[in-house]
Amino acid sequence: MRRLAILVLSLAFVRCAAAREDGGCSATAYAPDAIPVRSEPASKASSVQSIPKSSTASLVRADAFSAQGGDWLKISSEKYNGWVSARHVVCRLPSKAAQDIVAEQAEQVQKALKGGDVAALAQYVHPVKGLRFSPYATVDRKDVVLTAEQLRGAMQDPAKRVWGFDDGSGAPMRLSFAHYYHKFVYDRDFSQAAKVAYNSPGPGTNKAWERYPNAIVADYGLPEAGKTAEEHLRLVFEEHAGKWYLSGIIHDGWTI
Amino acid sequence: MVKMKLRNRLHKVDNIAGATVTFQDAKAATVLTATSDAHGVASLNLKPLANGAYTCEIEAPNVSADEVGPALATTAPVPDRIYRPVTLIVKIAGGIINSAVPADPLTATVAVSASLVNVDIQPVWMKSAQSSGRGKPVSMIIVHHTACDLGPAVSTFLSEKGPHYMIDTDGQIVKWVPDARAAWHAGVARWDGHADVNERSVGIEIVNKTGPYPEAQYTALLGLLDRITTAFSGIDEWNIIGHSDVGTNSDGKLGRKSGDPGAQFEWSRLEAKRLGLLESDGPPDINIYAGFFNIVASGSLHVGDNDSRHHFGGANHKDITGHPVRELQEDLVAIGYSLGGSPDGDFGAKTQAAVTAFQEHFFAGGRGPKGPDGRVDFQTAAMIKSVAALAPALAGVP
Repeated sequence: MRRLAILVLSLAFVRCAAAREDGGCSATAYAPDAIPVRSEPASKASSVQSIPKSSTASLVRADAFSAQGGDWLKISSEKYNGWVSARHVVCRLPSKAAQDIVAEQAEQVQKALKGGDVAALAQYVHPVKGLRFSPYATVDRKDVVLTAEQLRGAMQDPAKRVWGFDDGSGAPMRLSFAHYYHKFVYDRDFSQAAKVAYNSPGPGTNKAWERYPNAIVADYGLPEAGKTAEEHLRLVFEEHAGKWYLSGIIHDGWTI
Repeated sequence: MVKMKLRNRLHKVDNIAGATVTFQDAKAATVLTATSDAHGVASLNLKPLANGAYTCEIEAPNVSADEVGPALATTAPVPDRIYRPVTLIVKIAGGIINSAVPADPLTATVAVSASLVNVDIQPVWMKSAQSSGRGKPVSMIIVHHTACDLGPAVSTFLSEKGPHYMIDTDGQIVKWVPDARAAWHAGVARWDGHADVNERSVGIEIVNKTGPYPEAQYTALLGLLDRITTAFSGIDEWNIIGHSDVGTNSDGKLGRKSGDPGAQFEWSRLEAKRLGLLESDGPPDINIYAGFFNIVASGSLHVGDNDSRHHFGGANHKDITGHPVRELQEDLVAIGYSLGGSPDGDFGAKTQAAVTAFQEHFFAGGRGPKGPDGRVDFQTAAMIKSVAALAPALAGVP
């Protein structure tokens, strides 16, 4: 009997995982067996329903909300309606839907990046989370986050920040924003990428999702001569109260 | 005049200036000497020489015929380049060179035309732009792959940062940083409780963009490991590991260098020489990790599992009263992996990353039943247990 239950559970898990690959909702490893559904996006809000962990694939994402304590997803289905913690449920949009939502915005962001126009870029920055700059493919919790306000004056600001750690020496990279920008944001013209991949599973985007599980990741790849991998710039968009904002810029190039 | 142009075989913009070129006839009598100019060009007046075969010895200002290892480039001042000495078998007719063939093809590549002979000479030492002093004794060796062709690797190692040693696709070794200094190869990394991996390690980059590693590279690597471990008695053979075993984020989470040296690298070549991480002999025990695999057939310990909540394999198991997650974490730490903290019985993202790093190592070379996924099925569990059983006492703290 126990074995049967495990078989059923593991089949359910496989289905969830598959659903997440093409977009859709699934329970995270931290989800309780009965996932609370709340009336508001806050852990103190009343729990109106609970979703069995195995039923998350039937959910549809309706909205998202960022708060200091974590992210919330508004879900709706025939049976369930309300807010679930993003710690318990991941809802990822399929590629086509992701493209429809952010393509235009991503193009504007690219234009601002290409022109080094950080004031224009600031318009797109996530109002709660700000914009995190990651010099390498793996997002590090110590990566610098700037608010829209901080970003506006950043290009002229000579102050140095620690933007991460050198891939070889492991030493802190103390650079001005402008220096960082020309080395780890727009060292090449990523607007020339032959194709933009939106929420396309693969090693790079998967790494972005580790930190931004519910995000839309727009990936711009340029070939690097003689190297295995392309050089990528990934724009991370996260939803907040019905709108999508830029919350991460990830630079993924060859490292030693 | 015939011009002989001497260049660095691996970095052809390097002209070899000040090299001595000596021609000897069949009786070993020196018949011509010349020195290369700033452009690496030696001008040879061959007109007076009788038709026939000659040997041509080429010696760059700094040469070494020895095996590349810790003894190379240790005498100050260390030059920018050290090359192999080259012997060419040259046929001269009518004052021009008809053919020139290196006696040892590993030392040079030669191209002959009517008035120009290009000789591209194998370097054994190219000084990397950056390195720093060591504050710690050498105790580990980190194996990397370049994930790119030779050209971009050489360019980066020369101008930015490089390993101590590089093994080219033909098995030839080039040294970049003296072993006495810390090379900038590992970045943010942790192993065996130490976060200063660059200071404690020798770094070896194997030129491999993709696909299997040629036999010549394994032969070269094993020879080099032998020379390094002989020179540094503080290196425990256990601590010969891959960049993927040690590369972490700033919080100690592994996975930053996943895929380096990657699934194609055969650690079994090292294990056969008792180098690097090893599995112990004997059949796996189904009762390991508090009997989880005995109770949950085909189960896996994975993210979300927690000893104090009795949550194992994604489900509640009050019937498992031991501490399988903590035990697993202790085994990973004993092997040398970073958990980014102490074993706490909570299977979080960092434990998952450590399991994935272990799988990358032991599943590489076609040994794994699946790709690395950070889930501890019985086979993974048995491997971890088996390796931990042989692990030397931990040197540092997690």
